[in-house]
Amino acid sequence: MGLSFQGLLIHLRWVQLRRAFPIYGLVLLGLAVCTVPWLVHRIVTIDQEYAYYIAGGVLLSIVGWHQRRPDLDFVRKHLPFPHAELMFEYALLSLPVVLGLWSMWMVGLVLIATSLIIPWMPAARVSRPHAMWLRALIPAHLFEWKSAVQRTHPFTLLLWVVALALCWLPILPLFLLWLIVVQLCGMQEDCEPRSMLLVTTPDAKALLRTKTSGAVELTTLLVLPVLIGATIFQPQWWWIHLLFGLGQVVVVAFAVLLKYSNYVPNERLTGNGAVITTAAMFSVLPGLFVVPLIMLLTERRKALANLQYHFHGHPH
Amino acid sequence: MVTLTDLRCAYGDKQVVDIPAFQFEQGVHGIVGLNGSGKTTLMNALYGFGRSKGAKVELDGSDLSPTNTAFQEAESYFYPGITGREYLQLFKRDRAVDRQRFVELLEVPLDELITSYSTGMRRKLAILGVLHLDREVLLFDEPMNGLDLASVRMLEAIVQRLQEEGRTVFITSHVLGPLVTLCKRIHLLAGGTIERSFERGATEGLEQALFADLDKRTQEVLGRSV
Repeated sequence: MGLSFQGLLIHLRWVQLRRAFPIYGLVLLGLAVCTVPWLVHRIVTIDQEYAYYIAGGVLLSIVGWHQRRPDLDFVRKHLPFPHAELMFEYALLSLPVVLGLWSMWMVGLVLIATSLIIPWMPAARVSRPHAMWLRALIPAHLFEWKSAVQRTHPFTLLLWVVALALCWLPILPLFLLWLIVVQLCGMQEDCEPRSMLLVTTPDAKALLRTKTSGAVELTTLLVLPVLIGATIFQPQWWWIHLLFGLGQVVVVAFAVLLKYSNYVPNERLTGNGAVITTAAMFSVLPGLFVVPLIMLLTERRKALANLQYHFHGHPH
Repeated sequence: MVTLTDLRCAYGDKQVVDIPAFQFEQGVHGIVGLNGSGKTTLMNALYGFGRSKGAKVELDGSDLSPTNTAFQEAESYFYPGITGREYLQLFKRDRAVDRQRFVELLEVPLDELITSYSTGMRRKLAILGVLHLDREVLLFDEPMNGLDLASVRMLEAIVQRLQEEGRTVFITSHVLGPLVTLCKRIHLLAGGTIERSFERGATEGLEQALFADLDKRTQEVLGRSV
């Protein structure tokens, strides 16, 4: 009996989402995804040229995800129709944006057609350290960021340079910065071993303070040059740039707290990725910037309680 | 001197360690025992974790905790995507001692990603991390697992140096040879208690004591001794 394509990968994603989110979280995520076509349509209505940038950004993101996805070898080895599975997943990822591009249907068509070719792209698997010059600038206790450089280089650096070079354009540099922040937040999924946790600071409060302040500093250094450039060219949007920058800093701090509120030594917290992506989406939706801030504030107490246990072997 | 008083550790209803009172003098101590005898749980308790209420583990009167203890855990897990040097930098930040000679001795390729290390290299890196911490008490849980013979020899030299520095070292291992030469005393752990202790130079009965029950059981199950 021949095997037929069943969309196993999408089914697995759905199972992961159900495990990661309560029902209201899934509803919120669904709402956030539904606003994407509307948002894209609004942007394209302002200026049709944005359609090309948005499509390019989405394609870059999918290529980046394809290059870095940890399950690529598993999918290729063990799923009966690996290319079809990947095509289906990438098509679904680009679909909300494609729908928003209906007034520029040709761009949407190219976007979806190109995303269907990506599964055949070979993924680079390099085992030597990347960008040591950049990693040397990051303090030792922010090893997640060193790891992020290793795992996203040169893709993230390229995006940042493009964002800086095109900061005279409206929207696009912000979108690219947002992609970078989402990528970097994803690196907060891995939990360090207990030995690394305990050697970072003497207690839980100090650890949260050190890690969040370090993450905020690095994010500020990352977004500030692009936002200053964007504000020079679009001075009337200074407040949008300010809110966007604050939003990204809040999302990164939230990703750090979320990691420590679920921290288990040596574990990879795969469920956190979806929550962080949702927070990141809210950070750029008009009027909903406050949502990740509330998430951040509520997560701190949980993170502290969980860390007290790992620092002292019992709730302190 | 490390003093244990009413040290009990349990997983649910199962009592894993139960030591009413014991004293370890300054120096190198070996902890041996069969699988499940409570070695790793005892090491965790010395480090400050998993002790029951009322248990006391003290170093010259002050509580033993990660502030005065360093622990190389049996499982060598590392954060992905960082190099050996980046890992060690974290351990060098606070109250660190210069261990450049140990780094040279163990020949760990610090500028490579840890994910590319062999099991032995990972073990050596974990040991180096602990060595960089300036702590009075050092705990090594199965440090010889995965090490080649030359590295075991180097580890012996390093532990001797730690002893000369006046530190108290605890080592658990299934490899008795190095422990016999290194340790001031070897303690046999069985059923969560320290059943017997052997002084250096008087370890003749160690293997017999370690395998006493095992030989009896093998005789019963297989009808012959090992």
